[in-house]
Amino acid sequence: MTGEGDEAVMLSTLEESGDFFGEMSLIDILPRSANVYASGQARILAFPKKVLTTVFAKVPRVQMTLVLNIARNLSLRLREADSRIAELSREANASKGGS
Amino acid sequence: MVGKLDLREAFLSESPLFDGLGKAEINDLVERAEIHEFGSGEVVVEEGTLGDAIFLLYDGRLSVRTRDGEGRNVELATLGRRGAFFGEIALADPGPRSATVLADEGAVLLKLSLDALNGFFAQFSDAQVVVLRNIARVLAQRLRDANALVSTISSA
Repeated sequence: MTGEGDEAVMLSTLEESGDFFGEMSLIDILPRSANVYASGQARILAFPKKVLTTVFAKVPRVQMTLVLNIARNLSLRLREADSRIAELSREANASKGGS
Repeated sequence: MVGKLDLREAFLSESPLFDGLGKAEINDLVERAEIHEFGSGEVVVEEGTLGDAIFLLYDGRLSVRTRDGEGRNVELATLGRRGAFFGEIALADPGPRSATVLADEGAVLLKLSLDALNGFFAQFSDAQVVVLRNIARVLAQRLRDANALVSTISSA
């Protein structure tokens, strides 16, 4: 969720085993872009940055692979967002045309 | 007309794509880059074709388009800032181009083919993770922009 109190906006729900978040901390050193709440009981596997940094120093290929996977995931989400934009524009045009 | 000598390392070193690379690395990239010129209305890359290069805008203006379900063009973005780039998805996720890019007016572009980049990475192995991280950063920003556009259109 983003925003506060009544202004909070639900961005997405993570419910599949293996869903992940916080991956942008490997790419950018920026404040978290959203709040994440447990809406039911949840078990989470956490990889502290310190631990990852140690692994990356030992096996550089791991870092490369993670960064590549993050970039792939982002590009997939971007493709989805772009087709959603095209779809929404089509709907907007259709309703404007009255057909 | 720009020659290779005019493409000073400053152009590439100022690109967010190559943020964090050293002088020797930038010079090597300059050597591997090709210059392409496009006339007004000419297609630079076409949606659906295999992405095999990254392009950086040196001069001119480009528009990024996709087609909706009924074949109508939807403009996704306009690129007009020197150093703006596209095609970087090809490096992270080889596949068909997700949009068509065409020159709105005459444009001069710097092209880095995947072959050229792989040659560069083979020579400077530490550079690959730096460039991939830069790409992820740019993709994240584009995703945030695209999501904002989705919210705007949805609530219109």
